[in-house]
Amino acid sequence: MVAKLGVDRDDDLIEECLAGNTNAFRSLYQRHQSKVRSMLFQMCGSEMLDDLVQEVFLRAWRGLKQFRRSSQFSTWLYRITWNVATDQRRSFAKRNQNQTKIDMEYLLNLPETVSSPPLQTLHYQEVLYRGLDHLSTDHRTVIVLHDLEELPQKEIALMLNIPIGTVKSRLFHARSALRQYLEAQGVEL
Amino acid sequence: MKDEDTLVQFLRRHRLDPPPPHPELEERLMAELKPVGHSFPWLKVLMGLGLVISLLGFSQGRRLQTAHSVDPEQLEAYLIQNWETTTARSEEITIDLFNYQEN
Repeated sequence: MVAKLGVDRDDDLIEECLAGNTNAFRSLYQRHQSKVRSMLFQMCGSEMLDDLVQEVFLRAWRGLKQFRRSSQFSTWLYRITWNVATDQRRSFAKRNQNQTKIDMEYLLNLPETVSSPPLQTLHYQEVLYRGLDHLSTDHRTVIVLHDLEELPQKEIALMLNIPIGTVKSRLFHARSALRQYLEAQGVEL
Repeated sequence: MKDEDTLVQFLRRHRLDPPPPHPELEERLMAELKPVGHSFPWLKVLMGLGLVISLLGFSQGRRLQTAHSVDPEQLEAYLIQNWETTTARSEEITIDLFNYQEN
């Protein structure tokens, strides 16, 4: 019921956006930015993250007239997010750069809190993100969307425009590859 | 517990959260928004220019066509006259082949 209300609210906001109300788009941004930001971060790392978030929402604003409402706004927005992330990963690859830059520098610069993570956790985090870098883009995508962002397989299929069976199969192979990598790094699961 | 579950638990336990956005990101985005449907004013200008050029070309073509159009009766009279002149001249210089003698 809550989800349904959320969808209705998105639809109302889109109507207002199409009537030229930019404040309605601000509300859409506030409702969805954290998920978009998190997906981009898991796919592309922290470098240029703000720029990428901005690019997603600018593309969404410009494309609102073409949004057919055959899917939920969030699915459509996540597809744009995935496109932006893919473009960015290609650009990183062209620059021959470590694709995701969630490196030790970022881990060590996390704000110190009373419950700072122990060293072993930091090590596991580093190994995990190295493992994700190790995967192909397709495999990393399904792991990020399904296992980290907790999107349902049906939504991922719609988002990537692939059959749900392909999502399942990619997830199976991606998990196997990641597990193998983690175990080779000494992580006991 | 299944292998898949232990892996997913590990991923969720050790996932990182993204750094917070720049405090002005939202305002920067809002400042970039242009009215929906008017994001390509140059396209409309180009389409308008194209239309004007097409209309001008069409009217110019019509004008040239009109300037070069010939009254069929005048044309027929001209051709007949031309033909008659030509045949009259050829009669004048016709050689009598039957009575021709070489000098």
